[in-house]
Amino acid sequence: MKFPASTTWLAMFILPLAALLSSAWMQWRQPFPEDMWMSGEDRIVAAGFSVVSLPTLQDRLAEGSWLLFDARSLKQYDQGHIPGSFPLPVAELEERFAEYAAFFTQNVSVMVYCSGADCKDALDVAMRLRELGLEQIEIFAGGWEVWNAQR
Amino acid sequence: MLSDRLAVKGIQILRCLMGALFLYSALVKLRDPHAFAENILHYRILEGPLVAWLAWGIPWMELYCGASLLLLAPFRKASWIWIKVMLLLFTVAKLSAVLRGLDVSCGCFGGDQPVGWGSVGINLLLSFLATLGLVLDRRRHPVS
Repeated sequence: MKFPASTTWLAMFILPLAALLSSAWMQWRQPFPEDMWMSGEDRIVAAGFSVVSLPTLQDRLAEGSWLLFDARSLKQYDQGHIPGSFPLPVAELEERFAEYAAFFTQNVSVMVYCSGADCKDALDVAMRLRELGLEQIEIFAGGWEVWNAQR
Repeated sequence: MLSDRLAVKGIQILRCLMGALFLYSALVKLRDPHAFAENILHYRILEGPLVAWLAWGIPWMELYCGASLLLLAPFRKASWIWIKVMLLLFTVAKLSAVLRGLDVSCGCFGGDQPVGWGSVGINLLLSFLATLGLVLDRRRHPVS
């Protein structure tokens, strides 16, 4: 069966128009949270954490005064990580907490990082550490991406 | 005669596969729009509310195109064209992520498949199949 060319032209407009209207309807019914469009650093600050810069991170690592945790997956950690960091994958938090229990005293100072500016894993880990009662937690927002770029 | 029947069968199979693939892809994204919006953000091409329009708009477009391909004969040609356009745009986005060395999830069919040359290759193959579908469906207009 052959359809007139005008049907195809009509369909060319109807399909995206239907998708556009559906998108508008869904955004009205289930809007995305406002913080979704925040940058990684803004999200960290909004959650009440401080952002660590690369020079500060390097100084603290040299002094050995802070613990550094890598919130990425174990596979990514094994492929490369910031020297001196400990793996604390967001997917295995509870198991790792038991392993690191001796570290997590109230006075300990902790920094966390993940892949880069877009990832949320470091923030998730930081929030969980705060729930455990740790008070001094900061996030290296640049993450592995910034560290790797400066090597 | 036999080759005609084979060609008709071939285009029917291709249409069913592509239609089902796009329906599946759409449903996976519609089930978790937040994850898909995150995926789009990670490509670092677009930002802000435009991502919200795409995070809802792309799966709906995939759903309508997939369903039209399977069920709505008069809309088939337009569906093939839009599927081809979408696949080309997805390929460009993936290619730019690979060339910039971004460590991003594809966001194609749920899960965490990383974007790499393999993923770009699959897109090019699907894009070729969409072109084939468009050309064959144009030459022959089988009723079913």
